[in-house]
Amino acid sequence: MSVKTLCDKQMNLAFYVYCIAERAAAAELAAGSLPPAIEEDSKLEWLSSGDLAALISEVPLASYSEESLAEHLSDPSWTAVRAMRHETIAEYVAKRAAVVPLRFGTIYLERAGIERMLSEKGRELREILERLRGREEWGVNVFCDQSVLMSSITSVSPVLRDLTERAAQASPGQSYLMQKKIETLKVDEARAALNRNVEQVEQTLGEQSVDAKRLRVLKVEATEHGELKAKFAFLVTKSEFDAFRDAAERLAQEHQSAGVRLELTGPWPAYNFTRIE
Amino acid sequence: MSEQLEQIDILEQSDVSLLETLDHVLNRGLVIAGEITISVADIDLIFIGLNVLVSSVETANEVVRKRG
Repeated sequence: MSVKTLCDKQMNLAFYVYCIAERAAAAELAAGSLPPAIEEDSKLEWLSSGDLAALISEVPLASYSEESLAEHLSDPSWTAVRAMRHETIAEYVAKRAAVVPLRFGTIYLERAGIERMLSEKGRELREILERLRGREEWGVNVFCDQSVLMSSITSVSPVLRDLTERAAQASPGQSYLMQKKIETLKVDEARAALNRNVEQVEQTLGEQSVDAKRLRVLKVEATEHGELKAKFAFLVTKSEFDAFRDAAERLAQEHQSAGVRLELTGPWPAYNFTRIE
Repeated sequence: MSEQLEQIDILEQSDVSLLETLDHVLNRGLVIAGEITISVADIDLIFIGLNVLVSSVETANEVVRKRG
C-alpha cells in the first residue's frame, strides 16, 4: 500500500468520478479553472492512466459510504444540489472536449482503483470517446394540446368529415347515435394522428443526427405538464446542428395546427449515448 | 454561497430544466461499477419532494415580504 493510499484511508476519504476524457484534452483544462466540485471544500483533479484521464474529487466517506448515501439520496434537496454540480462539471468539459459522462454516484475508495478501471476499460472508453467527438446530445420533447388536436382531427379525417355531414342531415334519433360513433372515432383518430406526428419527429430528426433514442416519459412529467407525449435524445454533430434545428422548427410549424408542440433542450453531455452499440 | 442559499438558487430554476438534469445525471450516463455502489432514489419521488420544498420556500418568502 502506498503512502498516499494509506493517507486517504486514514482521512476517511473516497473519490467521486464525474467523467472521462483523453489525457491530452484534459491537460488543456487546468483543474483550477473548472467549476466547484460536488462537495465544495474539495478540488477537482484529473487522474490519468495511459492516454485517458478521469475527472475526480475527494469526498468524505462519512457522507458517501453505501449506508450514508442511501440516507442522503432520500433527501431531495441534497440529491438535487449534488446532481446539478455533477451536471455543471460534465457540461463544462463537454463544451471543450470529447467526454464520457458517468452516471451519478461512481465512487472509489482509492485512486489506484480508478487507474485500474481506466486501463481495464480503456478500449471501450476510447471507442465511446471516438464516437462522441465533435458531437453533442439534444433532447426533443413532444407536447400535445389534446383539445386542439381533437378539434383539428375532424377536418383532416375524411371518415369523420363524412360522418359529421351525414349526422347533420339525419333524423334526431339517428343523429344521436352517429354523434356517439363520431366521438369514439375522434378519440381513435386523434391517437393515431398523434402517433404519426411523433413517428415523423423521430424519423425526420433521426435523419439529421448520428443516433436517436426514445426515452421514457417520467410520471411527474405526465402529471405536471399533462401533455408531454414523447421524449427523444439525439446525438448531433456540432457542425450540423443548424440543419437539425431548422428541421425541428419546420416540424414544429407543420404540427402546430394539430396541437403538437416541440421543445428542444441542450446541448447536453452525451449521457444517452455512452453505450457501445 | 452557503449551502442553503445555493439550494434555493438551484430549486428556483425552471422545473423542466431541473427535472431534465436530474433525469440525465441520475438515470443516464455510463455506468461503471465503482467500489461503492449506490441505488439512486426514484426520480419521481425526488422531484415531488423538491416541489414541496420549493413551495415551502415560496411560502416562507411570502411571509417575509408581508412582514417587511
